[in-house]
Amino acid sequence: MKAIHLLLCATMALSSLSCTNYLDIKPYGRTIPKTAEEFSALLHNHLNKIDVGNDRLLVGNASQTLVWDAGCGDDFETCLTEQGGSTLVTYVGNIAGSSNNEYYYRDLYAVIRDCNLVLNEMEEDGTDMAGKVRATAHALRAVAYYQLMRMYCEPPQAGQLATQQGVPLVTVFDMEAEPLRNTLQETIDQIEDDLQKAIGYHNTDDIYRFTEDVCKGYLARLYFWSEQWSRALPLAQELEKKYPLVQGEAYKTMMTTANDLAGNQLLKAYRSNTASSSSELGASSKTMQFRPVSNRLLSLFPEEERAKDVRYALWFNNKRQAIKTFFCGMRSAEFVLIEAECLYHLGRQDEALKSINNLRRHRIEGYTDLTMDNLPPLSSLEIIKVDAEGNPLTPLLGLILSERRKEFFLESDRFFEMKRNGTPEFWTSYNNRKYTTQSFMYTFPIPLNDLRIVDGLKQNPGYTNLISQ
Amino acid sequence: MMKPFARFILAGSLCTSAFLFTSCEEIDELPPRTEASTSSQYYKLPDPVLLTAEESAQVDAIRQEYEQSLNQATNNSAL
Repeated sequence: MKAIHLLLCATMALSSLSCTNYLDIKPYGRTIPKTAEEFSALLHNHLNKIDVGNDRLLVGNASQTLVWDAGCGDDFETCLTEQGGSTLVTYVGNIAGSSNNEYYYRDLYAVIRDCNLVLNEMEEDGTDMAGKVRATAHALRAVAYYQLMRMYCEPPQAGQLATQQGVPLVTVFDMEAEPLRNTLQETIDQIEDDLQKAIGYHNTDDIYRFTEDVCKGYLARLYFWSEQWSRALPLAQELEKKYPLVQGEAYKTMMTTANDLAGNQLLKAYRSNTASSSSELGASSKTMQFRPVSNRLLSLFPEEERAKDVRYALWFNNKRQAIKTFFCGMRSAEFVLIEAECLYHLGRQDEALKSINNLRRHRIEGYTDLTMDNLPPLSSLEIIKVDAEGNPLTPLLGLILSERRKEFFLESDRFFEMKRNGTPEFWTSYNNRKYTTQSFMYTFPIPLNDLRIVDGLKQNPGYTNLISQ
Repeated sequence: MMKPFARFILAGSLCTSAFLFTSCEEIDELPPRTEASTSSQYYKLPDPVLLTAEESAQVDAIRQEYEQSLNQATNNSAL
């Protein structure tokens, strides 16, 4: 009997050891956040990615800049690509029809998910920390939706925003949710609402990166993208006044400073200098040497201005290779260009010209202001033919757009400018093949997985043929 | 008499423990796949095409202009 008892006890002891894992209620090594500081970890994860250059989409990094500018845009000459540049994207179709597209979508909604968790689950309120965390959550969510809108929605058409497709808006964490696409107007409203709320917290703590001024900058960008010229203008002017343009040596220093904010920069990737960020920057700089800058861009710098325009020597070498220090972020010149274009579309041509002359004066040594009578003609090499409202370009708007193209070379701007201004079709050549960027490719497809899971989710136009590998 | 009984108990307890050790694996809760995997599907965009003679000439002109500018830059540096 004693032996039987012993064996029974041993059996019971062994059985009680065998199934311990399912009794755990907490994931091993993780914390369920309760305080604002713990919730902030969800956001600092994304902010840290921006700082070390691992973020591709919120602020961007060098690798993604090469995708947009060296691949999808027309500032580089793809047909002249040398062997070392074979990893560069050939044209936007390489992205639209690839798994990269799904990763962009997934990564942006991952940011939104974390922001929703913070905004809906964080109970701490009324403290300084809680305010900063909420402000940052609103800001990051707004920026994620802003990028989703620019990539997955067609360009805004005035008067049609309520019927154009937006993106699915998710503001509460719910694993079972299957949201359909909201309208573009609703998407714009959501981004605006989030940015206004972020601004309302008046966060000036740079550790959170998306301060009040940065959020105002994004609000100006949102109004500009959605053609709300009269709303973008005062914001742009306010920020331009607070962060005045710099010129000469100060501009050179600002544009060649790799890590710290410099001059009138408000937001910037690579604030942390790590081995991996240095490696990634170095690799990107090296790769882009194998695809020369296009004559379409270089011709915007007239021969007589090249020696006097500070940008020419900073951006290119005499082999037509890009040598510009990568900048992914937000700086004041953008507000000047937003101001100029808003004034133009509001019919205030003289003020628009004054604004663009102001920018040019800060870039070209010994500059004499242009007048309405001696504006340069439209470039025959420019593929943008109509403006954001669908009207043919005029010499003044052509000047504004060309200054923007020169100023924001290699800052992930060109492709989105082409999308904003008429989605022009053009072709490029690589290995004796012709690759045509068609209008529908400027808007990426909603990932297939989402279409399968969510009944009724609508795809963007142009994506109809599916093939299996 | 007790010895075979004890062996029986021991064997039984060893088997029971073995079942218990292996019984807590994750159950495969996914239903069998009925549709093709979406991860193996992608959107077919228009294929690139061969350049026409006119387009080839345009590319050649771009290359020519580029090489001329490089030569000019090299000459200017030499001067």
